[in-house]
Amino acid sequence: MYSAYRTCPVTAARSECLRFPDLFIIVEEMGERTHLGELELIVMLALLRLGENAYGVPISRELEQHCGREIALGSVYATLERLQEKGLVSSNLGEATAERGGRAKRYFRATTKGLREVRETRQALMKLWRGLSELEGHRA
Amino acid sequence: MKSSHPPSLATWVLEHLLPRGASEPLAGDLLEDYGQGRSAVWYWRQVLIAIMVSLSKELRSRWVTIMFGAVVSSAVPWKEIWHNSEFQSLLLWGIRLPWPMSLFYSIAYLSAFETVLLLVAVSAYLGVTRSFNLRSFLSGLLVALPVVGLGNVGVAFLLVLHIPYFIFYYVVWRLPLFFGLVLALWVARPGAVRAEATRLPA
Repeated sequence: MYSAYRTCPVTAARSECLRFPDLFIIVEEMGERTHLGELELIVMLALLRLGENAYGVPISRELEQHCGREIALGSVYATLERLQEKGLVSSNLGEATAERGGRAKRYFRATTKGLREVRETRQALMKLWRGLSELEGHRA
Repeated sequence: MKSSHPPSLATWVLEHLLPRGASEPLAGDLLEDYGQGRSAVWYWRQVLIAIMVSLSKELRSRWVTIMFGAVVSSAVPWKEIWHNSEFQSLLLWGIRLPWPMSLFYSIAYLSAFETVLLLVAVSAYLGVTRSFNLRSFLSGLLVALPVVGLGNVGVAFLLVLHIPYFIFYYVVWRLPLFFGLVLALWVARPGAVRAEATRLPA
C-alpha cells in the first residue's frame, strides 16, 4: 500500500504527492524488515517439512526436535504472523476438536513468494558458506 | 498428580489479553500440548511468553504514538502555567475550601486542565495523520479521562512522600497526561493490521 506513495515531480497532481502526514506512516513502517530472519527461516523450513499438517503443536515439536531447544508457542505464532504479513505464509482455520476445548486449529502453508524467499536465502547462505574451511572441519 | 485440566486462570488471561483471532488457535494448541503431559508451570510460562510477545509487538507498532505522548507531556511548561495569575486564583479559590473538598477540587482542576491539553494534542495528531473519526475519538477520550483523573489522585498522594523535586516535576507530574495521551491515541487510532486466518467453508 505504502509503495504507492510517490515523490513529488513538478507536474504531478497534488493528490499524488508525498505529504507530511505520510511521514508518520512511513516512520511507523520503517522497522519492518523484508528479508528472512533466523527464526523466520527455521519456521519456514518446519512448515515445508510438515506440509498439510502444519499448525502450532506440530510446528513447535518440529522446531524442538531439529533445533534442540523449545521455542514458546507464542513466539512461533508471532513469527508466523509476521511471515503472513510479509505474504510469505497463508493460514486458514481448520476443525475444532474436543482435546482442544472446541477451539479451531490454524493451519499454515508457505506461499509461492515464501518458497522463493527460502530458495534465495538458501542460495545466499550457500555462497557465504562455500570456501570457509574453518566451518567444514579442515582446521581446528 | 497432574490435573487433566490446565490452570483456568491462565487460559482466561490468555483469551482476554490477546486479540481473539490470535488467542483461539493458540489456546487450543496449548490445551492440546498440555493434554500430552506438560505441566501447569509449562502452561503458565507459555501464556506469559505469548502475552509479552504480543505486547512487545503492539508497543513496537505504536512507538510513534508513545514518542508523541512523551514529547507533548514533557513539553508542557508547567512552571509558567503554575505562575500564571488566573490559573493560581482559580486554584487558590478551591484550596481554601474545607478538607477534603479542597483536595478533590485541586485534583479535578488539574485533571480538567490536562483534559484540555489532551483534547488539543489528540485532535492535532489525528488531524495530521488524517485518521480522525468522531466515534473512535470519543472512545479514546472515554478511556483517557479516568486515567488522567486517577493519575492525578496518585500524584496528590505522592506529593506527601517528599520525592526529589526534579523527579517529581519532570517525571511524576507529567505521567497522568502521558498515559492519558497514549491510551487515547491507542484507542482512537487503529493499530497495525494483524494477519488473520481465513475460515474455510465446512
